[in-house]
Amino acid sequence: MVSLWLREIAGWSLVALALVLVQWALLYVSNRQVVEAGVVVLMLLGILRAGISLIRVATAARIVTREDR
Amino acid sequence: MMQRAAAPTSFYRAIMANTLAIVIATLLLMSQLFDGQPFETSLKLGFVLLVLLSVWRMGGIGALLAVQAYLFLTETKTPVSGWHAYVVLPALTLSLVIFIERLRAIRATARQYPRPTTSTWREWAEAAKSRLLPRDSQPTVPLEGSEVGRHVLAVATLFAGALASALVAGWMLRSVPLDFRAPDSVRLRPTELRGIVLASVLMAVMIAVFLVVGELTWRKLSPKQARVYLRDHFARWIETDWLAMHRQRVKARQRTWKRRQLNAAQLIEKNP
Repeated sequence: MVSLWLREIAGWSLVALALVLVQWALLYVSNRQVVEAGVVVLMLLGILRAGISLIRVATAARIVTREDR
Repeated sequence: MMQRAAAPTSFYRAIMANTLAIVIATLLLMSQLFDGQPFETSLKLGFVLLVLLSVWRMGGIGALLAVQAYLFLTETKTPVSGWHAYVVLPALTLSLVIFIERLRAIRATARQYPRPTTSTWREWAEAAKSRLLPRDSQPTVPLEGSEVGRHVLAVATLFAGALASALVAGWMLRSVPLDFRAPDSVRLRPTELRGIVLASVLMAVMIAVFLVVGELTWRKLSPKQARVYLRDHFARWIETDWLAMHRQRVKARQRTWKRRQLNAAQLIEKNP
């Protein structure tokens, strides 16, 4: 169970990092730096996907473990 | 042999209501888009034909492409302004697309039933004219005011939804100001930069909503659904290895088969 919680915490950390990158992208766009904003958006999409995937796997595993008990 | 019942008459009333809505939306769009243009009559006729083609085959995307092509070809250098461009035109276009798709969906559902017989059509027409029960022995439902109101309300609700979407989209677009330094600093037109700014803001909002809604629904998984998800997820991790192993086995089998064929051919040559 500890590993599952660790996975979920890691997933949420990645999601928080993606949200910080969203803020960076909006800052770039407000300064008319659209190319830089585009690069940041590409990065944040990948990090967001990874974080969400970790969270979902951990949640599903916890649900299955709880049922097995 | 049991015969399936004909489609309920409410299907055909819905088709009539939707067709009327498409006709009204097409006429309104034609008056907005084509007035005062060269070859006005030909353009209007072409638009009507495209709408008919959309209803028959292409779906709502045909009408959408027609409007987009017209706007693209008549684009001016100065940016458009005013509620007509931001709200009326998008609302009418969206409504037309919605009504066309709805009509196609209703027709597809009605096609699952056998075609109505001539007597059913006659009954429906008589009931629509006179609001009285026909003298035939087959019972029929007269045209009720509440049912007509229901179809009109459905069409009006769809139009109100399209209008509300156009209003919100127009307000959001106008809330981002045009930046006239854009051509010098980023080699973009002010309207293009505004579009990118708005897309970024919408993307941020969408990510936030997606996270909240996704997490709320994901935590309501049943144990069976969770098991299926985990099996699928872990299977994908080793999918590439499985595929590589399968390809190697297929190649090895092909090599063995070719070797056997060669051996057989050599044996035949030696011992004719």
